[in-house]
Amino acid sequence: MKERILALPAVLQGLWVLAVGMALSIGLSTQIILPRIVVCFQHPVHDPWLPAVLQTPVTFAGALGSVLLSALVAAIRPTVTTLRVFAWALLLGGATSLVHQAGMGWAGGILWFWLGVWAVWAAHVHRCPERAPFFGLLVIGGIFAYPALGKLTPGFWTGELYWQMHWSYGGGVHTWLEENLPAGMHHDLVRVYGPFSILTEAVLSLVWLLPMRVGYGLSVVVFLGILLTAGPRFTDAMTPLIAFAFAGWWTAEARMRSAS
Amino acid sequence: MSWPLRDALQSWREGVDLPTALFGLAMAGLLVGTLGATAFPAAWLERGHMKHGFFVFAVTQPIPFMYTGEHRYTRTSDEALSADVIDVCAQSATGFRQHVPVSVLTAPLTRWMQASCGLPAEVAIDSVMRGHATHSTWRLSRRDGVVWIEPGDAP
Repeated sequence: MKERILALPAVLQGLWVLAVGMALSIGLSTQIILPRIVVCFQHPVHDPWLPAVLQTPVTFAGALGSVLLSALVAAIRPTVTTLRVFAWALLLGGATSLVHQAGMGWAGGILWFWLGVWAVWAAHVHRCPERAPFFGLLVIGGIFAYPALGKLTPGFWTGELYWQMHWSYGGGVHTWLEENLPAGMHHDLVRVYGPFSILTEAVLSLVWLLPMRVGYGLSVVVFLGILLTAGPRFTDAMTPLIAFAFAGWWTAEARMRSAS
Repeated sequence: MSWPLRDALQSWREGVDLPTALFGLAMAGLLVGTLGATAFPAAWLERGHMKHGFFVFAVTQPIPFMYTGEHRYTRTSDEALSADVIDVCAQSATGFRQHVPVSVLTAPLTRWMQASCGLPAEVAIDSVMRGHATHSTWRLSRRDGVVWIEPGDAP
């Protein structure tokens, strides 16, 4: 297995890391993804604006299932073909969730789509695979840039929307903070977190300017930080990004190994 | 130390293959879509002094944002749907109350509320635009096993 992976070109090794990461991510997010599918079957919602194919849960379940299946196959049997199938499944699965009724507002599907854009490129690139780490950081930079842009509002800047959406629900680090800080301080902290998060995302939107290890390392730290502060409900959004950061890093390391 | 930007620039003279050209197009599309999604909804949302909440999702998903923007635009002239964040206060017969900050994606939301909150088949959803005192109500009903969402008076 190890020989099979190391025999692949660097960019496909990175794609294999992404496949393994996606399989793990979906496994860790089962409690988020599975109810999203099951509830569609249990509670059909009629919406005449959408075509039937984008309302039926079969389409949604098929798209998500194909990503998981192809990721598992590519992780277990990494070949050019299985990795290409995984890349296309990730792109098309993400695209389906972007426009399907059940996927609207689901950050996981959006991220799958943009990771899929990189994956399809990596699976088919003929020349200059050394661009892979840069393109990976470019995607991550975009993923940081657009939320930063969207959060440039009084609601997020003061932190109040964070409080309403995540912090006031408690659980995880927030329960711990509530129990261990003086009364009211937990709520006050979010006023610092608001601008901090926006500035961090804005700065990291330029992550593609950084050296490879610094760029991918910082990205992982921030993704883990978001997971910690937003709580387990962000597992389905953050774990694919962490997997993607590792994939980009691996690609660069493998390329340097093969060059030396 | 490896500098990805420098490596990519150095490889530029090697030329661009089809996958790279398509990747570049996708990233350019993302940029244009994002700028568009940032500009147009802001204009719409100014009516309600709204540009927060799930707009964060909107700008990370230009495609569905345009999609749902259109959805919002064509499906209803209801003032409440021009807000990007609607506080949905669902009250069941037992007085259960839950605030859910959501986008205007009422269909998935309704399903979630039906499923997770154990709401009755018919329930009123007050959509409150933050900063504006505009209210609207939605009427949910179940016909032939399907939940319908229609503008209307509270039951």
